[in-house]
Amino acid sequence: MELIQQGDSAAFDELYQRYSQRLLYYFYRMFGGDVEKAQDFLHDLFLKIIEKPGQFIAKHRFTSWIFTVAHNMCKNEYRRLDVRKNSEDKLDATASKFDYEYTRVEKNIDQKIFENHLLKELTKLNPDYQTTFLLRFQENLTIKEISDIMECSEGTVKSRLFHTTRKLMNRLKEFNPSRVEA
Amino acid sequence: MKNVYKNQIVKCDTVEDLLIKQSIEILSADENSLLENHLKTCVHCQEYQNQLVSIQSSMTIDQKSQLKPDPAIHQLLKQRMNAFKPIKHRTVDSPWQRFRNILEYRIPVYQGLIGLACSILIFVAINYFSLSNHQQTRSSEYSINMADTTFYQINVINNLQIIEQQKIGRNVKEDSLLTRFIVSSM
Repeated sequence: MELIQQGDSAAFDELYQRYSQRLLYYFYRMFGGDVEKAQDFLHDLFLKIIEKPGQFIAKHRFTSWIFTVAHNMCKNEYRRLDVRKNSEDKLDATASKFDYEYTRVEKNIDQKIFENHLLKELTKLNPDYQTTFLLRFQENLTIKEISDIMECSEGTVKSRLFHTTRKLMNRLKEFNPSRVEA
Repeated sequence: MKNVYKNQIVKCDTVEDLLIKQSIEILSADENSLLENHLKTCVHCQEYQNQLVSIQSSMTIDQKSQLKPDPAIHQLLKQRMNAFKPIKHRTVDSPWQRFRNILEYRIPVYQGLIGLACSILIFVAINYFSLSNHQQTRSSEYSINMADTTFYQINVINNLQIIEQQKIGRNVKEDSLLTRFIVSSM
């Protein structure tokens, strides 16, 4: 990050390679599978890094910092728009697309349908709960790191994870691919 | 569904909660052994565990996925990065260091020096020639003798005759006044 502050483009490339895919997935899942919006947010986030590199405080871990920024961007977007309403419609469209693309391989269909429903259910949750869940199971961050990002206690993070997992488990009982395979 | 463990009746709900808890934090030794023993016999909880694993594994990023960052974004950001190169902090150097810094840019300094020398030469040359011309004119003014004066007067009179012929005034009175003025001014 210091190198980026000095205008080192190679350092920026390295940072982009490391985080772009992860952040794209994060935005993609936060916005209910909207790829274009995820790409736009990815662009905006890296633009912030270029234009205001001084905002990063060296004592923080970079991963925590970048996901804090990403989470704040999502929260702002959620405030601005009624994302959930739109994302449900988008998910229906993508589900049918996936059905068409993967008709040949049944296993993949089940998996994809399951993933789409999971995404759909995830989008219905509170953004703070979504982010907590994604940071834990997508990014494999520790409870401590998540609590730093979300600016809440470790107990709150655990509680959020517990309730989110339970809700998802209840709502996705019918779409369990492992049960279909068995 | 119920299961007996260490003289305790363990409900499947409790095990489900433990399974979720296990995915979040480390369980105690008692909780772990309870889970293991229950899962050995309960098919329902085994299914529940499988579903939990499949939900959590669905969240991991598939490297073979088609969802990739748009390469155009990277290009745009690189362009932006080049445009936003920060200005280096200026430090106050010692005079010797400043001189050495100037020497590092040799070609512009030499060009500047040559330009300065040329401009000085041109300035000196212009001043020298203009001064000599001025002196010449002054000396010539003082060396006019009487013969020259009469020569000039004759010339003026000749010119006046021409002017008179062409009738530069609107009438005779004006013409004569003009003639008088010219002659008196000489």
